[in-house]
Amino acid sequence: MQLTLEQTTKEIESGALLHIAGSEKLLLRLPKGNWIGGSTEYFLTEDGGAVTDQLLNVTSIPFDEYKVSSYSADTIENIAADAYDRGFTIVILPFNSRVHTKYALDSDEFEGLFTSPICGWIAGYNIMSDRQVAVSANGVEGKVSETDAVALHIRLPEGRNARIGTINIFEPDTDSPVITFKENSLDVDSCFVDGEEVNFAGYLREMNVNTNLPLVGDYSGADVSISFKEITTKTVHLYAPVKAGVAYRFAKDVADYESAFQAKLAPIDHKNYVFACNCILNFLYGRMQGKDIGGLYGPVTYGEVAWKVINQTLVYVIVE
Amino acid sequence: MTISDAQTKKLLEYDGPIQLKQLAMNFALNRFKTKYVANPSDEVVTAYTKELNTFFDKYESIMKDDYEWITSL
Repeated sequence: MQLTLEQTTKEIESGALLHIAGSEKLLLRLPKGNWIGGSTEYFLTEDGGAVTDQLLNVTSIPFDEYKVSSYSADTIENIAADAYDRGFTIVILPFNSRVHTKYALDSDEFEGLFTSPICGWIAGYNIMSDRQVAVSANGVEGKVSETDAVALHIRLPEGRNARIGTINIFEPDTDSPVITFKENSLDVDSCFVDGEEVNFAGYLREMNVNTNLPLVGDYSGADVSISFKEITTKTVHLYAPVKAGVAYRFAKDVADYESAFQAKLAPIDHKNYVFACNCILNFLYGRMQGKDIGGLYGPVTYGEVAWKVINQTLVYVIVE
Repeated sequence: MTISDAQTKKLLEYDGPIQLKQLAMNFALNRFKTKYVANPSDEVVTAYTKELNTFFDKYESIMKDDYEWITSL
């Protein structure tokens, strides 16, 4: 729910365990308590997509056993090892920080990553601002950080399981060439297009590729979206890394993001969802301000975490 | 629900359509396939077997479909 600073402060003072998303300036004014947070001014709410620096998105996490941990780029590899055996973790990483880059590039090798349900998001800021910074917030320690990630590790009662789900409205275009890469990277110079090595930035310009649409990679049967951040003269900068050995294609166009999400959400029983987030590129390119996608609400983010950092995807966790 | 090294090896060498339902399983398979292509050794197979069995042990109730698909290969 969207709350004012005063309402959020009261929630914190009640002792509730909370996930909070909002502008850096509001997060800095919150008292210590049982909460984690991250910066964004974009939200998907029951009243539709919203942009505000006056309200915080507050989600109550209805579990009693938990721990809050901060991680630097040097310690983030311990995140899965620190998770409870039966539970789940919500992690928030500040955009463009070393810890974000480390997680994005190296999380495949973090001990136990894929056998621990880990979801979360990349904190950002208002794209119209040139003064804001992305932060995470550890409410237990009263620490707001541009450099460290924060994680809420939750232990679930016996007999309950967390299930992380994703909704990716993008599919690979079967007419697209197959794009592959030499190495795992967020910043790409060369790639192979149907096996022929080319400069990726030059190829995108030459073919007039719509870079509002992501690359869709085949990760052993799962379609995973990787979004374009910026294309400079010779380099393509991405919001999540491409991986060597994975075959990517350009995505098929999506005419109506709102309907696409609603159609994919409809069959999901999400009444017990605990957390959800969606990508800022879906919000912006899908013109989702004021639109209700129907059921999974939360922060709009600079990248999503479903074990790995992915893009242009709605991520949620349901406890069964 | 337990997977053997022989079943893991079949999965790593399987070239058909993947029918896993849990995204973490797709990611783990992708990670180990990459390792196995670079180093097709028993060590990689055994490490993946261990990870698969951790999945099935921890999340038996939601892993049934993936287990059945792997063991049907």
